[in-house]
Amino acid sequence: MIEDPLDQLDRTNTAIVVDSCADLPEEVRADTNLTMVPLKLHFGDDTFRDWIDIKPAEFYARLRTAEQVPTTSQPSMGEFQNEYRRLRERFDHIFSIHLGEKLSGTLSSATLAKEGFAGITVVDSEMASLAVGLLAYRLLALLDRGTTRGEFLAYIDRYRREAGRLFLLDTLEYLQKGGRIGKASSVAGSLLHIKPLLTFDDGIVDSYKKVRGERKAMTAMQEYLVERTQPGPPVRVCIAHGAAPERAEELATLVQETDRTIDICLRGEVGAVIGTYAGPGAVALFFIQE
Amino acid sequence: MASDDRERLSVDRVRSVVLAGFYALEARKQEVNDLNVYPVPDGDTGTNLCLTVRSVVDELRGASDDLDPAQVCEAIAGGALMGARGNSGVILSQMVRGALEPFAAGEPPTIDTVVAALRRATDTAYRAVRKPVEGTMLTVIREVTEAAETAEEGVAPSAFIDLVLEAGWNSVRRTPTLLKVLADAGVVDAGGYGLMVLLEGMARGGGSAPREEASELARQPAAAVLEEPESAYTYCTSFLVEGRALEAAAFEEALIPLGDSLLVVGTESQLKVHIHTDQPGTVLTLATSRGVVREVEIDNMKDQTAAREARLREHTSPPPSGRTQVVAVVIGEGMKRLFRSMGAAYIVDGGQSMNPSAEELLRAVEATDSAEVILLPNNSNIIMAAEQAATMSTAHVVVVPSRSMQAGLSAMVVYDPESAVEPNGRDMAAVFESLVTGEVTRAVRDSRVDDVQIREGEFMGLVDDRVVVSDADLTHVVGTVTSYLVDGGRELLTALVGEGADAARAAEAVEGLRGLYPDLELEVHEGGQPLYPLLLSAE
Repeated sequence: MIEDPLDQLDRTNTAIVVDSCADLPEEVRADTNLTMVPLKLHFGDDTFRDWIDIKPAEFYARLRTAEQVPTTSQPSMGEFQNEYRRLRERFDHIFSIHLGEKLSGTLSSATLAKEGFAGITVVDSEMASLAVGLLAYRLLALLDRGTTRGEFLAYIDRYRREAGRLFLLDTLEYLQKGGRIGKASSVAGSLLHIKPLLTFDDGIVDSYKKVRGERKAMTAMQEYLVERTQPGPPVRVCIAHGAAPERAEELATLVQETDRTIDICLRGEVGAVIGTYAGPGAVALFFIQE
Repeated sequence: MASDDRERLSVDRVRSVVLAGFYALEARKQEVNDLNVYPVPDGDTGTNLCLTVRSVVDELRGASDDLDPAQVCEAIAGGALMGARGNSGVILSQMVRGALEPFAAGEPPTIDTVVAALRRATDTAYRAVRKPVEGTMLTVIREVTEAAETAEEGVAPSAFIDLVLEAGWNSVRRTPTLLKVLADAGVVDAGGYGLMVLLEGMARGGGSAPREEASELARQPAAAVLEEPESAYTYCTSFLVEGRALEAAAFEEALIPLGDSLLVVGTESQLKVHIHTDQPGTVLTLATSRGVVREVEIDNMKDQTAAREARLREHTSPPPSGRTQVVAVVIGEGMKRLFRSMGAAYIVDGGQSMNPSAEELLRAVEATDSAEVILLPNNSNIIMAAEQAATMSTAHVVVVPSRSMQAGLSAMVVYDPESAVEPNGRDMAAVFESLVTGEVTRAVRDSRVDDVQIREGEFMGLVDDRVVVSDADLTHVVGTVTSYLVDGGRELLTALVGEGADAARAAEAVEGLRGLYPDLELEVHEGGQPLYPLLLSAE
């Protein structure tokens, strides 16, 4: 089968595959055009499938008391192959959208798995968590109204370039222990309580700005959105948190106070695997303007 | 005048003049320190001036006797630049640099040359200061110069010296009319006063020697100080002897076998004695047999040197990776930990009552082994020395003019080791715009500053260097300073607790504020700094 930019894509012929690190909430995962492949979490000898065997509430409770930080592992090639095989029976086109390649081996599992299948496009989102989740969610909306392969891929490209992605961690300890600290390492180890605002840049975690004080950090997130959007066209916003619902609520209020056309279309929690690196207390803002 | 008399500068002659000035300043250092405007314990203008001149003395000590005038001048200017400490020291080093220009050209030390030298000193010093303030040592050097320029052709050298020194002291007396803080505190300007002590010492050889011909200015020795000032001796000893019919020359004779760098000056009723010796006890015994001994100071010179070298070694940690490195002037173990944790590559010991010299800062910059360096002086009195060090370094150094350690810490928050030095400097300095700092310390004497009546021993609260409260009740002072700091909706208060019992009580007072300001984010850290039980900042 030849992949043509003029291929018509809609809910009848197209499926989206994500991994559990998209942190999509239950109601979105219930979408019949969406399939989630879980990564795995290991607390000592106990292994859990992310979002299936372990939900955020249980995970953060356990993280607090755990003597050792948990470890994580990517889905196997075989697990992706099983899903691709099953989906190809019903759909012509499959877009498999994943956590950034520089953050996880998940993408390489998927890339290996697609060999021998037609109609599968593997996409490196260069991001993580609900930044990927929001992309998948918006792509489902494109399928609702029907689109072309060309338009679909162009949206993904634009999202990778333009999507707002900013997150605030309570501590860099987990990111550092997990080896995912990237260029943000310069703020680690400070005895002052610095709030690092982080972003994904070129597929890795980078420090966007360092501020002191919770409120200043929140205001900086609001400013970040205003700087990257214009008045008028709707801004699709996703707000996520890891065991910090009050912070998420506060951020939602701040975002809605701006003069932009805000559509908070997605809210969610940071799951166990991403939470292993983000730690408790994370709050994140992801958005794309139409 | 025979051409033989118009000899050019020699190391020997210059050394004598500089030494005379140095000893005069050394002898009256405490007087200068006591003129400090703020009743906070940082009165060290005299110390800073002394150490700056001391560096020139050291430079000349090592100089060979057959240098040509340009080389002599280079040695002096270099010594002053490297030794410059505190703003007064830096300004003095600039005066020295300017004053040397006519001599470097090989001009003989005539009155005309001295007038030209004063003019160059004034212009260079004014240029070195971004916003010259009148009523300071700048005014004094300018008025000295203006008086010198009015001297008639062919004036006798002694008359010239009288004229110039009188104009200088009058200028010092007028400083309170030009600068309100001086008038409020009831003092004259310390830097101007120190400058005149130095000039008078140089012109008159420590104050006791007969006035010399101006053409002899460069040859003018203070008889007792011709020897090399540096020594194998351990103790720098100085004191006053009060009595009747004291004989400087005879006492001096008696002391010669006991040490070097000997200076005995004064009157029949009071002598000032300075000596480097290994037997300070014997020296004092000799002195007490002649009169009443007062103001004894005995410093272990070797300790001082060893301590400084140890400090430098201690703070040479392997530099962290990154493009731009930070050198910060910090005092207090906790403060040092905080700065290191945020990536400062090199800590120079120092602060309010201990200003590092431009040379120490330069060495720290060089020790980072980085081509791009941020220098955080963390004290308003160290900024100029930092700027001086920046101009002397081969590295690209940007001075981020932090006026306090709190400001320096806030600047460190935005420091990015991976960026170039210029954007780092801009971002770090921009932090100061939204930052307010506070300090709590004990007043060291009665005073009235910023319309606040201050009594010795009380706690003073300062906000951005302005005194806002003085009271015996520490909790009250902490509360008042805090109320100023959080005014205007500032959300984050950082408290840095100093060393000692006052500090422990100040920390309790800060904790007590949590209830009063429930919305305030309060961060309390051990700073361990001396003299200031509490340093605060709000943003």
